[in-house]
Amino acid sequence: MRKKRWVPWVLIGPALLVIVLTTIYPLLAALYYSFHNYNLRRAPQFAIQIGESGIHIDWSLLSLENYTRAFSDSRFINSLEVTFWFTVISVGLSVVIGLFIAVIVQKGGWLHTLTKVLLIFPFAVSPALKGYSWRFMLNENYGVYDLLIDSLLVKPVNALLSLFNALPLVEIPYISESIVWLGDKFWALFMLAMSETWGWAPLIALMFVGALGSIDEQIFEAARIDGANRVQIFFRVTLPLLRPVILIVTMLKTIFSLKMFDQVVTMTGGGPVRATQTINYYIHQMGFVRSLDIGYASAMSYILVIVLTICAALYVALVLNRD
Amino acid sequence: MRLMRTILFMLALALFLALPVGGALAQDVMDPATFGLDASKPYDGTQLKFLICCSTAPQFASAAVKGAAEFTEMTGISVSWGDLPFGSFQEQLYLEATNPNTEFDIVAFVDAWGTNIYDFLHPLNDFVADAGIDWDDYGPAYQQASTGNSDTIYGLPFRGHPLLLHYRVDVLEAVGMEPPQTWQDVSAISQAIVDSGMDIAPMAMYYGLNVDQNLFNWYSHLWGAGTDIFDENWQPIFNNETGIAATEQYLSYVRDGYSPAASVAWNEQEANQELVQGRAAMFVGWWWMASRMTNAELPEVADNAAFAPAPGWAGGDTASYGYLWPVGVLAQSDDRDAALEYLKWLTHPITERRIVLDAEDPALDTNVAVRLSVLADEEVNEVHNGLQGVASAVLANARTIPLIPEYTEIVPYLAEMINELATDAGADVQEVLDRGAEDVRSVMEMAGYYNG
Repeated sequence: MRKKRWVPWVLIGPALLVIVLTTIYPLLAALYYSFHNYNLRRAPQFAIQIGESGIHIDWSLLSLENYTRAFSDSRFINSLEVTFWFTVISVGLSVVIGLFIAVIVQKGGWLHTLTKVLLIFPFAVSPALKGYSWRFMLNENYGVYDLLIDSLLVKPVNALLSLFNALPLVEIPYISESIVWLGDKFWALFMLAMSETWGWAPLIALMFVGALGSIDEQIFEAARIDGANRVQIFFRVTLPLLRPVILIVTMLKTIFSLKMFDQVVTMTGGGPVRATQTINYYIHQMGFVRSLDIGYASAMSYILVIVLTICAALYVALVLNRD
Repeated sequence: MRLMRTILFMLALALFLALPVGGALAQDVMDPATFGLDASKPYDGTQLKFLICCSTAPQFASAAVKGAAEFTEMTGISVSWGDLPFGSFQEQLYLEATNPNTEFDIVAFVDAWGTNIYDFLHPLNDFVADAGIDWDDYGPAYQQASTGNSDTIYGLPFRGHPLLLHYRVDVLEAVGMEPPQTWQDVSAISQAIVDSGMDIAPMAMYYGLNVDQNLFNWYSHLWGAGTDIFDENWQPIFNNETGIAATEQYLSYVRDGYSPAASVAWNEQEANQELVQGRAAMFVGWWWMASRMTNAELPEVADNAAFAPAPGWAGGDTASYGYLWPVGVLAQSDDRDAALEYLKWLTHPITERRIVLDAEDPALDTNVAVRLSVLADEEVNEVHNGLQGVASAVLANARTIPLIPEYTEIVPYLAEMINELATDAGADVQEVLDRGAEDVRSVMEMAGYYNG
């Protein structure tokens, strides 16, 4: 029977069309804008002009100015630094905590199964809502963080100190009176990363649970026969075997962390000062809120695209290598 | 029997006297001519789209709902209100206004944001003249905000907000102080509250980065002390000696411990919650928040709620930011005339008065009015405990911010500057303000303000 070549194209056609319209076209348009002085406040002048005499290209309207401007813009450099540290903290915490959770819940039993099911919920919460929730939770009056730390840690320790009459010398200050989480540059960035970790660590844990389940039990058995204790087994056997998954998860989380935007808007507003202004947030500010400078915002977006492409290429290489 | 006859006579008399009044009211409401609307319904069947934010907030929801059915009945025009959250509204406003194929006809916008879309709005000067709209019924600050300090009217004042001091009568009485008239009074009262040992923060200020709200009260300090953001040549002057003194006073509330340390990260809403939940004695914010205090769950807050004009500067001026949402018509609207018809009704004093007087549904209860005649209306003031009278006093001295397109680019720099000074107690005010002035100057320079 003769194979109909057009059938696959018809089947994937609608999906392709959607991708072209929603991804390829904006990508190409942004690249084109990035070489222009295009501000929403003014009527745009583009290099490619279509007139009665046909298509004409005015090369004088194209320039690399937006790209060179980015690297002399201290706020853009700041956003690169913030994004870097945010990525380091959020990826590090997500992977470590995810692994910790996975080791705990990997065993069988209904409680473990239930925990695994519940683990997906934080990831399902919308990032904007996550930001609002965390802002609320970090409030010194009605936030759960200060309440937990003060009542479970500070109060009992101070009570203990008072038993030994040491309170006047070393009284631990209440968190609610001593730290303004979102008013301090370090803590604001850290808590922003924590809000991201809160959503991602459980998902990563589920990935690790899957990977742990695929390790042959005989390997652990052999290690135990050789006299290895639990810690040794974890660091000498489990971790090396999980290395490919750790790499993939790290790369995937890095890509998402580099794109951080929603929680910055709803949780910190980029503050205090500029301590949590990530690249995406700064691009949005310059393009749609502050300057309406679409050309400059597009150029900065492409710088981010280059970084993301490198990460994505590494990710794909790792996945293919693993396969 | 005689008594019965007397009662019946009195009832009949009351009914007789009430009929013309009721008739007049009904006529006011249902007669298109009252609003200057075309009774022949030339736009019958037209559907308008109104781009606006936060339509669930009472100040907006009330205007969307109250009387809308009557307007449709009178004109045949139906209006659908967009509902965008405040956080994403600015972006959407710019995108829709600059989109030649936008589906929206009418837009409401924050005064400062309007500067970026003036070219895309239909000028309303002829409309205001033809419709007989009394332009002098709006205060100077609202007129400036609607025209961008030019001769062109880009929008009609729609929702407007003076800054009020919201305070607890009981706390001020306990320390034997009168409501503050100046910011220096605020400090003195705050110190008295601290000295009294009461378990309440004297002040809830907001210095956090959130849609640049930390600038609202800073403007009052600057203007009151006698300086401004720019001089007449668009050079930044907020970092001069007076500006430094004003900024130091503004920061003193948190630096001196009168406003809680957490206020360095608070937005306006969070600061207001401190007052509403009984943890603060004073708060300076928009008047639309007044009902939160009067409707507070805690009786000690609700029963002691009081409002006064935002403070001024000792020995200086009393001037605060009059924040306005004008409403305009997009130049590219296909139904411009129908949209103008809607504006006639929406901004009419009768409509505005009815919205403010109708306090039946708490979700639609609002004190917000912009016309001086409505603010001075006795019945309106009676319903809202004189709040509109206080607002009138504030608006008499209110000002607007620099209405230039570049200001939206400048504002985040200023907000960051204030946030830096608030979060870093050791920061040098002069140095940070100078740095901010440099940022502002570079924006203005790039925009060509200093050429020639």
